[in-house]
Amino acid sequence: MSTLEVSNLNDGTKTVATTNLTNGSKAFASTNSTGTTINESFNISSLGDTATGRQLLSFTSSMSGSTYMSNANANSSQNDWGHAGSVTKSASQCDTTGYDPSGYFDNAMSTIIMGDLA
Amino acid sequence: MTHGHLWDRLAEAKTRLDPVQSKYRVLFEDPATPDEPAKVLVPDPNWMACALEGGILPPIETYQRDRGVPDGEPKEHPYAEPIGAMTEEEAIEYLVQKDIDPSVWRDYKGNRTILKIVPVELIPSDRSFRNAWRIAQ
Repeated sequence: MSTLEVSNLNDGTKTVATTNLTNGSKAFASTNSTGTTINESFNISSLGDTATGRQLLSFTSSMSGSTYMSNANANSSQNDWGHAGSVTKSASQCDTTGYDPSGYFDNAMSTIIMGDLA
Repeated sequence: MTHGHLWDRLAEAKTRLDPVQSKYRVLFEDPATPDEPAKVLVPDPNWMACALEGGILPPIETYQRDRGVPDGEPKEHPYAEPIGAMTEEEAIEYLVQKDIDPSVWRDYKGNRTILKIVPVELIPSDRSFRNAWRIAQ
């Protein structure tokens, strides 16, 4: 098998870094319910257990801004009302939460980040 | 430029390095939000493997300078020349400076202890009162 190692592509007028051509996730994390263990991850430097139901992911390689797509899922088996979402996003961190009608609750989370890297 | 983009180095490292579970956690309180509970920082196992390996992560100073860079503007840390291997203790110090706001680890002038690096065993497993956690003084 041959391997091409290319940092940039140029069509004669524009140059695009190959880093920005990857359509897969730029970061992901699968964490346990208490935010104390990272099961699977990529491009994550740390997980913050910041309160009940709240987990803060920090990126090793930052995103270009705070408008990237974040998809957080609560792996809920407790009830049908479990939801997850991103409360606050910055280029370097994404605050995710698990919640139900009664408020935040601890839940295993799976989060995917897509968008442009810095 | 031979070292390329940080993200590419992380992708390559993930294919060959085994994750390393740290024996430390960072417990801290944010002086800007005194009503919020103490927070626990958990080092990522893949990141820790990169820190211990060397030649992958950028200097911590590049992250600190990038804090002031507006969204959409070029940042320094993805393209900075990587640093060498760290010990686990050095990696935790690096992580504190990277992922915790300087108002906690650098600028706080009060007399409460608001940051502690502790063995993982000292983090309570009982989360019944998670939102009331404080650092013992």
